Amino acid sequence: MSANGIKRRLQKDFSRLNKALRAQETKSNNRMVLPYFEQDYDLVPKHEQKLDFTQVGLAEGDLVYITKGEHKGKISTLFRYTPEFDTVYLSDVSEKKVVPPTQWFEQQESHLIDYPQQIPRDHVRLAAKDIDSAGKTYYIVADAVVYKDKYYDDRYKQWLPKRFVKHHESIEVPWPGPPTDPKDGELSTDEQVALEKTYEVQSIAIPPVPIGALDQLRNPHSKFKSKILTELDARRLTAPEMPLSKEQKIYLAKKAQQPPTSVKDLTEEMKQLIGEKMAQHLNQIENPYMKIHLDALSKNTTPEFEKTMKLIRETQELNKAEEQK
Amino acid sequence: MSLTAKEAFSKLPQKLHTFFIKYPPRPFASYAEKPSTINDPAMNPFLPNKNPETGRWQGSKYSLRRSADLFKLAYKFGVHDLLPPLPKKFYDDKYDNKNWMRGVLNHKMHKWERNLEDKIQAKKEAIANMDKTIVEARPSYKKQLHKRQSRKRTWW
Repeated sequence: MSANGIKRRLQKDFSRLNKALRAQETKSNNRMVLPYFEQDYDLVPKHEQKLDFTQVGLAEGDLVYITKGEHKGKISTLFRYTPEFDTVYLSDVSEKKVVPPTQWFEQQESHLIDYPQQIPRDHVRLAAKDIDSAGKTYYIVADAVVYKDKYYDDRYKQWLPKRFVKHHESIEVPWPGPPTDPKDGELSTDEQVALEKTYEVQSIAIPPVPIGALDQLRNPHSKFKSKILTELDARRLTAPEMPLSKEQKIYLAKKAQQPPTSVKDLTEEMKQLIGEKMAQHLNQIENPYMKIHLDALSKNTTPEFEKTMKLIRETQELNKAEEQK
Repeated sequence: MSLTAKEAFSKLPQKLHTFFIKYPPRPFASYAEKPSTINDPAMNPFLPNKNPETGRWQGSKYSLRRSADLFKLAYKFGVHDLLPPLPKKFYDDKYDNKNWMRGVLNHKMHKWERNLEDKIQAKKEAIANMDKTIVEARPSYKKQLHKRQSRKRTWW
């Protein structure tokens, strides 16, 4: 394991701790922090975090109604959701925070600044604005939301479920527009250019490139395609033969001096002896299955036997030739 | 139908035939019972042999498995006696001449099991000589013994 891996293992991982230990750890951390910067919200384990806004039920730009806390009853616009703490930041809801002078930004004159307040997701409900027949604006608040159907949202460039108020499913609350429209950069390609199709395959029966044009696209004389090796390539591909050592040369010279191995067949006496012994044994056997088994064994052939018999024949012929001389 | 020697020989498996060509059957050639040198004419192919020139040992020409295969095949045809002596024992010979382990022949047993006989003997002796032992320790026991003697039932 790398040093970094070991370090990470020994480090305290918040997401691995259980809820009670996490609370204890947060408490001990908060002891060293100024009261205005205390962490109030419990960390959500990584596998429980909601990273998609359809899972949260709220998108950036949605109107929300605060149900609890000091801002209860306020309707405001959501501008950020933090999956790590499952909290939302609202545009009009802020709190005063103390900033030490070292961290002041330009033109700041007070220790106190307005800082967006984190509000838990549970303390917030989806709201919507509408105009009635008399031309008066009114708000509706959805205690719960249901998803139905799917449609392709061109603003998000993705398929999104339609959002309805639960138990009042005739009321649809559309998704707000995405927070920031993508802007073209220096390296970006124009959408029309990216979507343009210059060629389309009409049939797999007709090859897209005419066969006559293939030679112009590919190198017919490529050396990787030719099946004949050049002399240089062949020399490069064959490993050199290992030179013999001194001892090996001496051994081979000695072996060459030795006469060729001569093998003699069994003498008649030997054959007689073996035959007698076998006959004595085989004649005693009465079990027919044993006889069949022994017959099968005696019919087994071995390549070694053929080799030996061949050697015997060769030596016999050599001996005959010598005698004739 | 009894076979003649020639007919029987024709039934010799090729494996054994090749072996006998290389190492002729026993009465025609002698084989050492123990490892010898590779130059020895009586060298046994089933045993490891030493190269006197280099002083190194050569493994057996036939491995234990191959030698066992040869023996078993020869045994089926009744010619196992003609093979060179083997380092292994087979069949009845293996069980009749087995070198039993000491522990198998004489069980060691637990210590209390080993001492049990002596212990019972000592107990019996102690029970038999109980009165004497008590008298030695407590002389007044003699009276009790006398009493018991006098109260003993007689045939009259």
